[in-house]
Formats: sequence, structure tokens, C-alpha cells
Amino acid sequence: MPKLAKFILWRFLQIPLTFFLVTFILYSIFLAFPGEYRLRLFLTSQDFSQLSSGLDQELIDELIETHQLNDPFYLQYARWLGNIAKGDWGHSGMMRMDIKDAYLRFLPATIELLFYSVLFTIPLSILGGVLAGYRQDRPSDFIFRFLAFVATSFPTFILAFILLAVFYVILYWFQPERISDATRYFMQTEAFRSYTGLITLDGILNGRLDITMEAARHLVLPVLTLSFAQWATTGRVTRAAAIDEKKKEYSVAARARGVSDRNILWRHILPNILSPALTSSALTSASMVTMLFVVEIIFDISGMSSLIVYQMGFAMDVVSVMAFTIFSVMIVMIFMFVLDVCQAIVDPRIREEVSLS
Amino acid sequence: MRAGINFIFRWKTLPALLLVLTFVFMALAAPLISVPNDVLHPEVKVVGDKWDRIPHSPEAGSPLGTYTRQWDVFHSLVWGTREALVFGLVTTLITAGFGIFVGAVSGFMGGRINSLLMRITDAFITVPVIAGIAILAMFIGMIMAQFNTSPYVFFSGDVVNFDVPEGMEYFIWLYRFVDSLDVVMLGLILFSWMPYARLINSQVMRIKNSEFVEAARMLGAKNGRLIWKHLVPNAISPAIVFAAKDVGAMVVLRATFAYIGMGVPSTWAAMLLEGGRWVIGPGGNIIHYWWMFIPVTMTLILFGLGWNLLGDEFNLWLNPKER
Repeated sequence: MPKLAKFILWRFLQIPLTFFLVTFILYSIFLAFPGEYRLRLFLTSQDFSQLSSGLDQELIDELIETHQLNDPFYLQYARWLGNIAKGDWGHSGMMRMDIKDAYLRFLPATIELLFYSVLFTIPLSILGGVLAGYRQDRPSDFIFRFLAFVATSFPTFILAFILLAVFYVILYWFQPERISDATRYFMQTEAFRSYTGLITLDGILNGRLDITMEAARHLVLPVLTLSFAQWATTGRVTRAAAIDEKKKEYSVAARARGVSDRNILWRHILPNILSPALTSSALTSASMVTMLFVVEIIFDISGMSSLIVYQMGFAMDVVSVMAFTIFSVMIVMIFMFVLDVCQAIVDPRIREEVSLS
Repeated sequence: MRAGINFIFRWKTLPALLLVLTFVFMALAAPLISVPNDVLHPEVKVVGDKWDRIPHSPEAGSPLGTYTRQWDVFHSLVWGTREALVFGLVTTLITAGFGIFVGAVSGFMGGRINSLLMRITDAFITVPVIAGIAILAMFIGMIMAQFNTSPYVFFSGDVVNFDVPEGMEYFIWLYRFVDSLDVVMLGLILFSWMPYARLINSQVMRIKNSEFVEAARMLGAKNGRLIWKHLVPNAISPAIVFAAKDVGAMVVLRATFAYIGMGVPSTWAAMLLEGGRWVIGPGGNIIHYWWMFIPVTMTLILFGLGWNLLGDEFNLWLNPKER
């Protein structure tokens, strides 16, 4: 499929483009401020130990000199990008940790949660929307619409607390946090090798299915909360699309020829609504990522949200806020890329568009 | 006019209108429904001993029970409506206004400007609101730090006397302006106008070359008049539907961000934060302190439900084909 390959390549090139755009805009805003703010992006842990011994203007000026922050804008920006390319992403004074180490430590939890939530939310909303639209104005459709309204205005953290009260405190089926302490300590010993950082995967690779199961049980409540907060928009779009498709000539003709309802729904209507459903998912992916971080904070999963949790009140840990922002934009870009590729696979019109332009 | 009357008297519209109007009435008539006993902080009413930390179940003086320190739940629900309505409407109106402006102008200009503005819109779509708020808070903190005040003072909202450093006297208006900003509101506005721009843009592109616009142009209408008198009124209906649904969502999002420590909680958000800590009651009993979280959650759901239903009804009213 050369057209599909061309589409994927064209779409993939937008990811580095966005990266340059975002970093460029953020760095240019920094230029409106005195050099010591930009300096924070360049500081290493050695600089921090120097600074902690005594904070004075001379030392700051000296550091500004050593990091050449009085150069023209494009040189500074290029040097900063070079640092990022070298893997030197700055040092967070508040977390007492290099940003790169923070990424290595916090990223797997976020990726794991996002992966399972997407796997659960998108099929759920598409299936729900198709069924509700197909049974328009019947009780199941009414329940679907009512749930969709409730889901958009239910405060996420109250839902999380209710789920915790039922499934953790009373039934003790599912637990909050990422993994129990005992298992975490075991995972840090020699007996367990961490290949990917994703606990559900590492458990299988190490031949310890019980650890995979435990991680999965810890994931259930966050995934449920995130899905409940997110399925409604795509679900509604899918429902509207299903109602539209049901009225079109081809499905009326199929029914007139005696094709069974089930066949019309799954063979004819579903392929046609996948495209708008995936578009809607792609457009709401930013709000999905927002809710992902919220759910992480609620369930005490130390994912990427840790970069901002501790400094919201002060907002002065420039490096980690920058790292967090760049990360969130990039994860949304990648997420949208994957959904767009899926859409191009199910909808030939999308890839035609690219090959024409 | 006839369409308006039909809209109001459709039986399906009634619940939506009733819900929204009830909240508007609650906001306007709050002093009549529940009399405050502290004029300076009318949202909070203490019934009974304010040192008593045990929440009390509903009784004569407090129809929906009390929070810790004996704050009346019902009273705060009623008075919080004002804040919620104002926040939801103001945020949505600014967001929608900005999105409509960008979408209409870029659609009218067409060509390169249109594709550039729409690329910028697409770029904004990739920024999650939480990251937007974090980076805005950071830059605002950096601006405040120019005035030698601790950012903590800024975020806690205290007004303090401070020494203005030399050369900064002329920028004191900047301090005052930035000080008055609500980070969460700003973030919500800056990072949720894009759907409006896209909706209006596609509509304007569609009707830009239709006959009535050509006729208006022949009659000598200027560009501004063409956009605001001819294009926008004919393109605005999907945006109105979207805006009606956004009002409730904005209020819920503000409460969520308040929970994770971003921004100052509104009255309803403060109630949710307090109530959330009592969901898991003694022995895991979820309904032991039900009045702490169920009334406020229900109110929020009804608030969102009202605006959502109203949006759906607007949609049917503005697109007669879908009826």
C-alpha cells in the first residue's frame, strides 16, 4: 500500500515539526525575562550544589556567562536544542533529580495507564454509540443519552472516591496506586529484571504472571474512571453518525432486500461510522491526556504528573514545568498520529487526499 | 417569533428550560431563598457551634445537613449558583467569541491567511488544558517575581504592601492586571476556543460565495459588515449548540482543577473538595455522610444536564431537518 505509506510518512513528519514549534514558542517567551530564568533551563546538578552553598548575584552572572546566555536568540535556542539532543535535559531543583531520570522513572506508568484506557474507552464509546443510534428512541438509547449527559458533568474525583469506597474499602477487589509496596520492593531486587518499565509487560517477560495480574488489578479503577470521564463525546458523535447512516439509501436498500438487522449494523453501518468516530477521538485526545494526569493524581500513581504536582503552588520550577508541557504536547501528537493512521486504514478517502496534494 | 414560541412550547424543551431557569432563579433570588448571616462572606453560613467539627445530618435549621464547622450545605449550594453561572457563562462567552472571531475572519480572508490561521488552530488542539494552565501559571509567576513579591503571595491572593524595584514603577499596572487574572479561567479560554473556530470556519467557507453574500457585496457592503451582519449570523448555529454544552463543562473542569491544586476553588468546588473526603465513611460506609457529597454532586450533574439538554434542543430548533 504505497498510498498508505505515503500518508503515514507525511503525517509522521508533523511530529518533529510540532516539537520545534512548541519549543521555539516557549523559548521565545523566556527571552522577555531576565537571564536567570533561562539559566534554570541549562543548570546541571553541579551548578545546583554550587548555588545551594550561597545564592549571590555574582555567581548567577558567572553561570550566565558560562552558559553563554547573552548570545543572540537563535544561538541560545540552538544550544538548548543541542542539549536536549545530547540527553542533557536540565536538572529540577525541587525534585532533586535530572529531568531525564524523571522521565525514565515516571514515563512507564503514564504510558501504561494511557494505553489500557485508550484500549478500553474508544471501543466502548464506538460500540455504545452504534447500538444507541441503531435503536434510536428506544429505552437503551435513552439510557445511553442519559449516561452520556451524566458522564460529562460528573466530577471525576468524586467518582473515583465512590469507586474506591466500593471496590477498595468494602470489597477489596481493586487497589489504588500503581503496585503494592511489597511487590515494588521485590521488583527492585536482583530476582526481577525491568525490561520496559511497564509492569504488566515485565511480569510476563519475567515469567511472573502474578505480578502482571496484580498490576492489572491496580489499573482497573483508574482505567474505569478515565473511561467514564471520556467516552461521552465520541459516543455521542458515533450515535449521531449511526442515525445518519441508518437513514441512507444503502441501508434502506439492504433492509428491503431482507438483510438481517444484525448484518446491516455490523457489516454496513459500523465500517462507515468508524471514520467520524476516530476523528472525534483524535480531536478530544488533548482532553483525554488532561484527564489522564488528573486520574494519576487522584489514584496516587506517580506518572508524569509528578513533574507539576509538587510545584503548582510556586510554579517556579521552570525546568519541570517546561518538560511537562513539552511531554504533554508530544504525547497528544503521537496519540493523534496513531488515530489518524487507524483512520487512514479504515477510510481510503483520507489517504487519497494526501496523495492528491 | 413563531419559531421562538414553538421552541419554548415543545414539550421536550420544557425540562431543559426549567432546569436552566431554576438555576438562574436560584442565583438571582439567593438572598430570599437562604438568608446569609455574614454579609462579608455570604456563601458560607454557620448554623450552630462553629467549633463543632462533626458534620450533622439534616435537621430543622439546615435542610441538607452541615459540613465540618457547621457550614450549611443548602445555603452554600444556593449561593454557589451565582459563582458557577457567572463563571460558566463568562468563560464560555469569551471562549466562543474568540473562536468565532478567528474562524470567521480567517474563513472570510481565505487563501494563505486562512490556512495559516487554521494550522495555528490545529496546533492549539494538541495542547492539553492542564499543561496550558501549568505553563501559564509559570509565566505569570515569573512576571510577578519581577516585582520582588513571592509567587506564593500571588497564588494565595493576598494583597500585600511591597517595595517596587527601581525602573518597575511604570509597570505597576501590569502587576495589578496579572494579579487579577484567574489562571484556570485563562487556561480554559486560551485552550478551548479551537472547536468554535473550526466550526465557524467551515460554515463561513461554505456560504462565502453564495448569492446573498454576493448581492450584499454588490450593494457596497464593507468587509466588516459582510462578516458580522451576513456571514456570522448564518454560520453561528452549531457554535451556539456547542456553547450551551460548554457552560456546564467549564464549571465541572474548574472544580476538577481545584482538586488537583490549580486555581482558587469556587464555592461548589470547595464543597466537592470537602465532601470528597467523606465519601469513604467509617467502616467504608459510603452513605453514612451522604449529605456531604451527594447533594452537591447532584446539583452539578443537574447543572450540566440542563445546559446539555438546552444545547440539544437548540440544535433541533436551528436544524429543522433533524426534527
